[in-house]
Amino acid sequence: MITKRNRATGAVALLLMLTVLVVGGCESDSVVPNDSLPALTEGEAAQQAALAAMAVSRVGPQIVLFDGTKLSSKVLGVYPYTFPPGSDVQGTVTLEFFDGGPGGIHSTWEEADYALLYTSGEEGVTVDLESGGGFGLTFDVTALLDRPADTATISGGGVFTTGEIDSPFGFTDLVVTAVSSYPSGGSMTFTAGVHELLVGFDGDSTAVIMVDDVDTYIIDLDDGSVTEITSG
Amino acid sequence: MSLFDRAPGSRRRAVVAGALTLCLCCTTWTGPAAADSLQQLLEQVGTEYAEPYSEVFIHAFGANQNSNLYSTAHIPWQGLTFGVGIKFMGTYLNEEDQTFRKVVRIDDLGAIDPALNGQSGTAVLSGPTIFGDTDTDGTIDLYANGILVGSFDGIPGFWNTRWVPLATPEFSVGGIVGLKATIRYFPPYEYGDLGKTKYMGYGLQWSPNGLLNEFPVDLMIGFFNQSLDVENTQGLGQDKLIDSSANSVFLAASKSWPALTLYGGFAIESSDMKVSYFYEDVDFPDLTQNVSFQVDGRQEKRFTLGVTLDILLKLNLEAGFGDLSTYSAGLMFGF
Repeated sequence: MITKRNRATGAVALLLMLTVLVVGGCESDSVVPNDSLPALTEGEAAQQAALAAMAVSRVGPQIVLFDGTKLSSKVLGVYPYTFPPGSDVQGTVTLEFFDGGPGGIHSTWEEADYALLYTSGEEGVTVDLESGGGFGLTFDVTALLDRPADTATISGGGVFTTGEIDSPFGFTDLVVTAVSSYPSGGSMTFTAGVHELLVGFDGDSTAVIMVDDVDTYIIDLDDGSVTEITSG
Repeated sequence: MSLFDRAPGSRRRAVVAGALTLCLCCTTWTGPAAADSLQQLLEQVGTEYAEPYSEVFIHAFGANQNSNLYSTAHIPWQGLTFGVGIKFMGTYLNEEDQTFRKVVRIDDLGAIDPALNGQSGTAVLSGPTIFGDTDTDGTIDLYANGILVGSFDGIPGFWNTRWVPLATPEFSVGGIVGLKATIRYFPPYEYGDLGKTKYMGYGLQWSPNGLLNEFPVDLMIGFFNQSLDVENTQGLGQDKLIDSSANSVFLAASKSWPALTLYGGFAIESSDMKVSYFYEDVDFPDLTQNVSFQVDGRQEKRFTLGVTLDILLKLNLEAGFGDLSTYSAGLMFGF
């Protein structure tokens, strides 16, 4: 016989089962290792910065070395440039040229006084190392062109990627010339983990990494090696 | 040993793969279609990868084993009670546990890739776990001086699911001074080349209700021990390929009405699984060696809430909450 008491009991039971079902949406705590990526040491950050600087000395000068007579442009002033096989850098960058500065109109490369250099997609350009492994860089930079002097002053930056590690970098008045692959001035700020390094260029085959305003490492821009400056 | 077993095409004895397949097959729900595919997966990786890859299964399996150990706290003091039936359990995984990342410091990367001999570095092993994406391979990345110097493929998930199931038959008998004995049991069975597999669990419960007649709810304490062994047939000195155990001590209370019982309880539990096998690499004989790893189940305590409907058969629904959330149902015949 269904009594009020039995109805109440049934109601409680149903409520409980519903509660179980609702709570059944509760997932377990995580039990699987999900370690953070290893923290970079200062030395490792310097190595990354050195390789980035080496790659910049290959890519940056393309803004002034670029020869528009050898490439076709489907859109006025927009030129995709693919690094030739056998070069240290592989991949494609896009160069855009403007007449009239940052707010100007697209122009041919001969008439331009302002340029953009950028990579498309996440991969950017890549560099394979002889020692094994490699890295990639994306670029998004602007350049003020000085045609008589054949130089460009670059601002903007990009991201250095190796495996799952991304390290952004930015340029401050980086000067590239047509006569040398080594930037003749300016700097690059490189951020790797908790380390912020300042790379200074002076036109020769080396660059200096400053840590906390102290010259700490020397980079060989030919092979991307880095040497710590020891006092004494 | 190349702990990261990345060379494709080498023939290896992936008995651990088959054994894990066996454990997954101890269930009425077999999500993945082919048990052999798990063996093929684990053949491609070594211990350092296999552990985090399969660890979630070990934690969930232990939690499942320690589930649905009772469906009421009422045990008569006089008269016989008997039950036979089957229990179904499922652990609901955290979404994060469908992927893993493990970072390992390596003193000499040459142990993995001779071209990196003498260099120290870091290995980052990541990708889907055994219950993760079946279409995406994991990766083993090697870093030296902050630069990626090598990258190898891991393996995809085996079964893309957040529910880990288990089913087990159960027998119980009791009714004398509030005692009840329970057994869970699979008969020993030979699964292909893996050898004999045994599953056995036993427990005892006691209810003091014969002494506490006026207490408003039924009370019960008990314990349950379980083991699942897979025999190692390699004949190289290791008795067991898989040696797992699960243990629980619990306190429960229940309230009964006609055809309905509500129950709840608290348990302290443990589980572990040890896997041992002889790894033989035909292509790289220097890598041949004994492999053994053990994982302790994460869950150490749980709260349980359940309801039992007694209409000809006893159907119970239960939820258990600790580090892992486990849901179960049981269907028992008896009196």
